[in-house]
Amino acid sequence: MPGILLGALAIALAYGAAFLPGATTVAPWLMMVGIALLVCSLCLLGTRRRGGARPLALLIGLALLALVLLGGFGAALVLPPEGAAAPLLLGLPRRAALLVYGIGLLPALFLPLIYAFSFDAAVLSQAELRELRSQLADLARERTLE
Amino acid sequence: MILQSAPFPPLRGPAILLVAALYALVTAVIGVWASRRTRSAGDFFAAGRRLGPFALGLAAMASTLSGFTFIGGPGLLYSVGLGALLIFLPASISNCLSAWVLAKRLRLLGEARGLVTIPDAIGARYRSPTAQGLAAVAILIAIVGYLGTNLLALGLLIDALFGTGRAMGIWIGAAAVLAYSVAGGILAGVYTDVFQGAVMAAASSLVFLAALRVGGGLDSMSATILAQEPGFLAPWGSLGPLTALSFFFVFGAGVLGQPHVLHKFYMVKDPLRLRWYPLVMTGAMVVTLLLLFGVGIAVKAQVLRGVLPALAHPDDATPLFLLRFASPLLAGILFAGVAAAIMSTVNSFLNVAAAAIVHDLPRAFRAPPGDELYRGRLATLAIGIAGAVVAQLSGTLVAFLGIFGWGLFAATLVPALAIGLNWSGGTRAGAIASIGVGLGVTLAGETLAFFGVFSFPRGVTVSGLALVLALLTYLLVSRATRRAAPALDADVRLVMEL
Repeated sequence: MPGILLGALAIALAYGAAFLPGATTVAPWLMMVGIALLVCSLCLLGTRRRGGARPLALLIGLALLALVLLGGFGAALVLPPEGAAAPLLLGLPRRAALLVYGIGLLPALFLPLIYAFSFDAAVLSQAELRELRSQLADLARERTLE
Repeated sequence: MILQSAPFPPLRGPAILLVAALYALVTAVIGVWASRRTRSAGDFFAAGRRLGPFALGLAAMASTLSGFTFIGGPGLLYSVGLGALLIFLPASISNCLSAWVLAKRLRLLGEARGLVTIPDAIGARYRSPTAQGLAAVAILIAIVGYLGTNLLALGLLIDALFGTGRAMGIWIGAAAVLAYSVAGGILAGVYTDVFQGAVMAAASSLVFLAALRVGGGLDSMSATILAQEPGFLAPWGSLGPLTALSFFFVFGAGVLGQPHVLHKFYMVKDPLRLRWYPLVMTGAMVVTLLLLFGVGIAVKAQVLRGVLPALAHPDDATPLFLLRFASPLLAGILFAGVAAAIMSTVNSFLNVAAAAIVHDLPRAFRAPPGDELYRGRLATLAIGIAGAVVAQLSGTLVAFLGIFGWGLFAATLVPALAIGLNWSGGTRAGAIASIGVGLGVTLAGETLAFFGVFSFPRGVTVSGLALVLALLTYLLVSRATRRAAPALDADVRLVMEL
């Protein structure tokens, strides 16, 4: 939860900074940090489970996601604009390539696989589903008796 | 505007018409088949909980992407440069995000409580008919305008294909979607969505390859653009970094508040099969979004080379590219894809809005539910007609109503739903306050901006501002009211802790 609060605060500050004259260079950095914090914290919140640690693959995947977001957006903000003779990376200028291939494509290659292969440990296993259904059935029976 | 509002160039020709007719025929056959299987309100609003991961992924993709992906998106890329992609880049992340945060909990809560709508989940989580009703009102407001703009786009497409005139095109389009939406509800909708999603993905990948061929490869197109207009290929295009990042925020996190997509999680047959949902959905979306990237860049390069004249309307990018450079058969398939994208989105909106009227609002007012299947069909018909009437009022009203879509869903539903179903510290007061703030800030901000009463600084989007204020409101009000908050229901707690 602290990550979500901090992420939302950073985004709110980014919007607030845009209202101030002269503070516009700070706003994109705040927004970038806020997005990375918020997205990764939401993923962590969604995988928080009763009495269980998160699988290592999931944590590595989310760390990589944070790196991709901060690195991709950060590079786009920091690197100088390209001229007509700029070298191309996979058909695009360097900053555009980092954004399109880094943020737009790279997570699509690893996140769904991490989701699928850590599903039992991070989301739901057959045993947990069976136990939940049994507990829900018990609750329903109790309600009927009441 | 995010959808086609100006007429398309005429799209007639035997091959295009043949493909359009075939597409309509297949959609009709699927609609009739699925309609015969719709026997209960559960079938009508939750597809009888019988979807597999492949059908779920394609149907969710078809509902998520409207005609904007094929028409407005390439046009926006053509006019503002690469910054427009920040609307679509979150697709690489957002499907896993929604799967981790919401898919399992919505599916299991749906099973435990027999839920069929997203406001249902909010009502169950907070034991609050008020929160459920408020969420339903927000959904209805967002859908009326969204529906109008989608039906207008469909009418313009039908007019371009068959020369019906815009007004008749809107009615024909509305009648086509209503035919299977009224008879089969979301059950007919998802199976047509699967077909429509496949058409969209196939058409997009073929057009992307055509764009690379026409432009001489990505290297050649980039070299042309860099030589004459290097700012186009800058990461933010002409939008500036804060606006572009704001788009990424709203379309990334906002996916956790899109009811027409999220309520498909209720329809999954086996929760364990959710394992493959992000893989299917992300793969289908990335392939489908290739069109937008390819056509936007290729048309820009061809205009700069003098092969194409500068576009009078940016939304003409895709139609002109197809008519000039693609075979009639490919053009026909793509225009079928555009129709598919619009119709699948309209069907989902109709179903969600009908559920809000006949299911959520009566619960908010503690009215007896009645025959929800019959009332659902009537409500679908009424909303479809209302949407078509709004679409006929082309101009300021449609443009104004069309603003309230994705952003309003996001600002009103993300905090109470996405955080609320994962954090036991969220309270009823926090949920109601956040929905109210999301609704109020979006409606007031967009209205002031649209009519020029107030200009937000460059980079501040109303939808982003409303979403972040709603998030902070939820967190802060929940903290302040946690001592007075009632305990969670036992079944809700079990699902939230799993």
